[in-house]
Amino acid sequence: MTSDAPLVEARGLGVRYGARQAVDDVSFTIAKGRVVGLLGHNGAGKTSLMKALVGLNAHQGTLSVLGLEPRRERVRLLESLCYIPDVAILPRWARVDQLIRLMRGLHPRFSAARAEALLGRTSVRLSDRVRALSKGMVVQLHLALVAAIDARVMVLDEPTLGLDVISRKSFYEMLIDEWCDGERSVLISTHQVEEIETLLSDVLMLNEGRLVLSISLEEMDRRFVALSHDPAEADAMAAAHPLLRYRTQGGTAVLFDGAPPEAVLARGRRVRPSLVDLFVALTRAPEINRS
Amino acid sequence: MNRFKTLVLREWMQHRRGWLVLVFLPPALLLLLGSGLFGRPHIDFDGGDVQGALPLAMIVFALCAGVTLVVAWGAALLQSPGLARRDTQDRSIEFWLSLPVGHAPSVAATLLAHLLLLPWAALGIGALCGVAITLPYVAQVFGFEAWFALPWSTLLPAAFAVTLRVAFGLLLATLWLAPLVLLTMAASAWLKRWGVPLVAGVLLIGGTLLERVYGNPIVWRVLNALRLEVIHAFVATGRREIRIGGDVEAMLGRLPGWLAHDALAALGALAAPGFVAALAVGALGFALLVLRRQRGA
Repeated sequence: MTSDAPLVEARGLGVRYGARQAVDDVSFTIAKGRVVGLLGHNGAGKTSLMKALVGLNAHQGTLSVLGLEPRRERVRLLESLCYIPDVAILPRWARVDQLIRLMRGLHPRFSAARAEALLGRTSVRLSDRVRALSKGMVVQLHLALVAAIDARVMVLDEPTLGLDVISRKSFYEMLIDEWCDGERSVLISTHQVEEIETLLSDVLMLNEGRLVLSISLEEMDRRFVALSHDPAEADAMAAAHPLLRYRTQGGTAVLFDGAPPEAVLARGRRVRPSLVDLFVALTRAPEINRS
Repeated sequence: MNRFKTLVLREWMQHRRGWLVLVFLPPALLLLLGSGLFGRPHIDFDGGDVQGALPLAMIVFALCAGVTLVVAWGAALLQSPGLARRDTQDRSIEFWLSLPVGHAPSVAATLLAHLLLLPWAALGIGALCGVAITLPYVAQVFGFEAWFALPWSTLLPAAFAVTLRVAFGLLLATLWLAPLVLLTMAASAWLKRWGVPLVAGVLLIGGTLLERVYGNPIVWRVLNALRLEVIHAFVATGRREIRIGGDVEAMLGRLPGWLAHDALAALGALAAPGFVAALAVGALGFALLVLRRQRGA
């Protein structure tokens, strides 16, 4: 694998459970040093896609993660890829120091000293049992364990689900400060889109198993245009067939894929489209998604 | 190898409390019984009181090692169906699956720890405790001097040889039982709470139907053959060749050699189509367990 090669490359990727196609013909790449958000409604196929990436789901199509075929080379892949599948899945019987000892024996790239250092910045003690920790502390512990792995890709599936805002903030701070170094990449799925928008460099949007958007945030800003306008201009805006019409603070706005007509542009004020608005636009409008 | 050892260590970390209770409770109870708190120990053997300190010491040793082994092994076998679903039930399966460890070693480490290492440890601890608690029993009946006067240079090698022989027998018995244990575990892994009743039902109903409707008692024959093979794993050459009585010390001196001969006979009994079939069915059960884990449960 060359240094410029994408860390993750999917071509026509599909995941099927019996008759149900959970992920359908998805193609994307993730380069090194990127923080990629995977967005989608419940049941959109995010977890299925992530499990395929870490070799836990069989898949159709071509999939290469760190130059490896995940299903066939799962053990080798997981030496360089770390994965937090869900909150509160750490074994509840274990003490923190036992988990560190187990990780040291099971993961060749795990640093016990680093894990202890990271935990030293939290309220989790080495003698604590997992079952005695709060949900937020368990997530911090899990991230500390995973961040102590010298991996190249991290896959996070709804890692902050059910956590309060302080715990979520601590989690993302630890992730960005302690793990992301410009070379490693993160793929993260979450419903709290607003909270991670500033962390992301790219976004993948899934709708009913299909990829409806794969774009960097810089390109997103260039490509999608949001116009805030007076209510009186609503009909004119609607006539230009925007992707989405929505309310903003003190007014309404429309979202266009590409530059709107000059006449429409002059009737509104350009504002930055938020990821949430784009997500709603792309996953609410099936006629657009199909195109 | 280091990863496999860590997987075994994980079993110890998770189950050590229960295991410690299992392996130390029988010796503790025997010690309590022998302490004199409930009266002087009284052991009947072949319809009469045990005569002499040496036979008493041998019986106490065998009782302690045997009961400790049977309790631990029995508990491990009874709990084995639950092990197949343990990580799924506590939701930690996704954590274990996120680590760079193969599915087959993960399953193998659990089986090894519960079905062999625990019973072996129980046997070893039972044997060590058995030697120690001969003291209160012998001392109460025959006095302290009698305990010190025991022929330790003969007794200890014999006790060690018996322990080794039983440990070897345990390995063979576990291999013979592999089809039943692993298929039951696989059924539990795939069918959840219906797994064990289904295996029991298939054996019971299938065996009865085959015998009564088709006159073919093959299920009962196979189960009986497995039972006999498990017994032969521990005593292969038959009881008639060794007798307790007469010169006990001389018999103890011959015991290690006889046990080695018996172990070889038990090993030789493995060269049979039945053992190959047992291993094949056990391998099928193991493969089903690995496949279930591969599918994330």
